[in-house]
Amino acid sequence: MRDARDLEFVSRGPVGLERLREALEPGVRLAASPEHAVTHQWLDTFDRRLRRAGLSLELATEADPGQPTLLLEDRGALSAWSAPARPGDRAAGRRAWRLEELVGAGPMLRRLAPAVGIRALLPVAEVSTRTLEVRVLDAQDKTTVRLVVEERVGPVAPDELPRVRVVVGPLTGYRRHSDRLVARLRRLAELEPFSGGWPALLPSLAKTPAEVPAGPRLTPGLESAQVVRQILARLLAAAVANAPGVVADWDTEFLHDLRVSVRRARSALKLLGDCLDSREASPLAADLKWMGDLTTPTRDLDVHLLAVSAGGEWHLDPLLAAPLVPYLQARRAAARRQLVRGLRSARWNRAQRRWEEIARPRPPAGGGPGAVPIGELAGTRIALAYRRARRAGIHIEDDSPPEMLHTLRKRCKELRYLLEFFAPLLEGPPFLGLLSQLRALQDCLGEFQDTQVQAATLRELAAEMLADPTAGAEAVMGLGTVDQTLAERRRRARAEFASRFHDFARPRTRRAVAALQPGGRPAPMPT
Amino acid sequence: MRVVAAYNIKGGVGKTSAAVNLAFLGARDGYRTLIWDLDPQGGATFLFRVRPRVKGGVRTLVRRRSRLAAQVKSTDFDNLDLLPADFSYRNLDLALDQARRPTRRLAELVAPLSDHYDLLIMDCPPSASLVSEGVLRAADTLLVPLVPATLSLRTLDQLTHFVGQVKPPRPRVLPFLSMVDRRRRLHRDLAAQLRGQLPHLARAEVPASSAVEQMGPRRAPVVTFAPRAPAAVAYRDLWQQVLELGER
Ligand SMILES: Nc1ncnc2c1ncn2[C@@H]1O[C@H](COP(=O)(O)OP(=O)(O)OP(=O)(O)O)[C@@H](O)[C@H]1O
Ligand SMILES: [Mg+2]
Repeated sequence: MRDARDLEFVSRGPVGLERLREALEPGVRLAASPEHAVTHQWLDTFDRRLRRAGLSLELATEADPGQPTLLLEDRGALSAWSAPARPGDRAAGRRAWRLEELVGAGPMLRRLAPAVGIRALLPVAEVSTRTLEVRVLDAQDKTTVRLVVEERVGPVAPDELPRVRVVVGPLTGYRRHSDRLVARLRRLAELEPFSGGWPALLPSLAKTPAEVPAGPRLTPGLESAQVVRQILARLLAAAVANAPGVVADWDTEFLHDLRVSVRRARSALKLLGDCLDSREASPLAADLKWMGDLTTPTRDLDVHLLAVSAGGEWHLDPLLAAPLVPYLQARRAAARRQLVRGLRSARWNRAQRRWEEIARPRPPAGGGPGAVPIGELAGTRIALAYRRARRAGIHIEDDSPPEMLHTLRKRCKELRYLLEFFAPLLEGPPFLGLLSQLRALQDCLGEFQDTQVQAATLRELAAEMLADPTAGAEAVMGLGTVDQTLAERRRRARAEFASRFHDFARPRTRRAVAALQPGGRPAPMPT
Repeated sequence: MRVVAAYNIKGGVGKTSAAVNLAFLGARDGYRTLIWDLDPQGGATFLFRVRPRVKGGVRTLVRRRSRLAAQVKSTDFDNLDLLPADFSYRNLDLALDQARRPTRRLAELVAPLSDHYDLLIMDCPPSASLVSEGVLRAADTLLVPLVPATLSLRTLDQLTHFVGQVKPPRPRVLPFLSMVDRRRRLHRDLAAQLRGQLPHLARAEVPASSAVEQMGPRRAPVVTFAPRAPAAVAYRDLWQQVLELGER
């Protein structure tokens, strides 16, 4: 094991072996590798789950093809192991890996899987170096300290200097040796102490691709139209950032996130679009509906595939899942072809341009429907959305048709989006209280509807597979138990509904909505 | 944490050679690995070029005056650390005997290591002593090298009997053929006979090989300097089989 953090220096000029020797005590025995080229890639999920979990994962590949090495830094402790990934993968311009492909089935999978989840790992930064590895040896030829000199090759941005790192890797049980070495290296004038490794020298590692410049801070006095444009701009940026991952099919979350952006933009137009010019807003609303619909078939199949996979929602016996998976995959491949064609179509481009145009920031208008201060508008729109949701649910009885709950679910989503759009204006206990009651209600309604949709899909699948001579009948048998489980979950969700809705609709929550006061003025009490 | 012990009552059968190679292979596969050299002769310690010395000797260790982790030395390989042998390990039996619950003592010492390691390999001295009993209670898997010799089966019987006497959970026993010289008629016959009588014998079979002997002068696992040697292939296969056995 290598201890805590490596001790490192940086230098603006090259540092050769001879120069290092000058710093060391006479008679110290060194073994040096020939200089060799190494490419270092730092990997993370698109949404930087590793970084957020305090982990850093590096894939180091030597030009002279050997097995690439993976290095994991976990809160200061560094472990290194050979990557099972074949060396050719990088040369082939590989841009994404599934975790198991990269780390194999060993203990590293167990350590990383909780953070990574179902996401793919993408290279988020890359550095190529000429690397010299030096080992300090004792009388037994045992390594007591590792020393690495890395010089960046290739173009270096001005903010990424210096280009040379000297790293002392302390070894467990030999700390004294490395401390002594570090003290000697401090005498070399060109070496500056440093910490953080290449990542600290690479601004690109610190950013999340989906991070969008926040724009002007949301304050209650801004014109509504400006704020709505800003909301649409942020959603557009997220959609654009996720599109390449959808086309390349890195993981299923790209499509999910793309859909969420489109859906939110649709709701923003529906709920707040009247502060924009309707000649702009209505065509975009139609575009967004088309964009959303385009993504639906693939997403549905993604959901089913996740449900049937090992550890998935349906807890299917692997034997039963086995014939189902290729069947669903084939259908997904077909759906994806349509999707990718759509994403590359002129229509998509036109829609995107319209979205960009409507999101383009403009100076305050000073008058018209868009000039209302956002604080005021937010308050009334939230109160309105709450009222609508309440009305949609108030007449639901134990024997009401499911459609009434589905409608209520839509109203709740609209309220939720508004609360999210305006969250920076709303912070405080009433907001958090309302949000948690809304969430609880949404979870219940989601469970009720999703289990129904899944059960319908299941029956459809069973029918299709029975009709398909290549599919194998044994898969169909296992679906019966899944159907029962889903029905039971659905029953439970329905039974919980009344109390969840009661909490959401009771006077206390109504007062909380009225107390949100985003404009400094209480919103009208919802009735 | 997997705990695998290379163990046989008999000496010179290939325990240390197997322990050292499996430790390296585990580390290479991403297991944070520790090899504990319990043999006062310090074979594994020597092969990893570490000075055989435990501060305070075996008594301090057993009395838990110092944590085991404080004695750890990094080897020259990533992910692979060593708990060195010390000549005072010849008194380990005595020290254990004076501890409370002597046969559980090793398991207690080992337990906290699981915060830092995924795999512990114990290289044991040849004997059936208190130390061995402690090892049997700490390990989930016993790797037992069997040299094709007339008495090997009897030795394994003794060992199995010994394992049967310890309190559960008992380790699984994975015997494997070691130092097999296929050119010798007697070896071929005895190997076939052992295979017939022991259905749970590992499929990997480590041949008698000059590459393994080279580990001494080179002071490194054979899988690092002669990865294509048949013995190296056999150790990789053996490691695979240990993995397949999974945790207890
Ligand atoms: N497969 C092999 N082919 C040839 N020589 C071997 C082989 N395995 C081990 N040896 C040699 O046999 C000797 C004993 O091996 P090793 O130290 O691995 O056995 P051991 O069971 O640990 O011994 P001890 O009981 O003394 O601890 C060593 O010199 C070693 O190099
Ligand atoms: Mg030995």
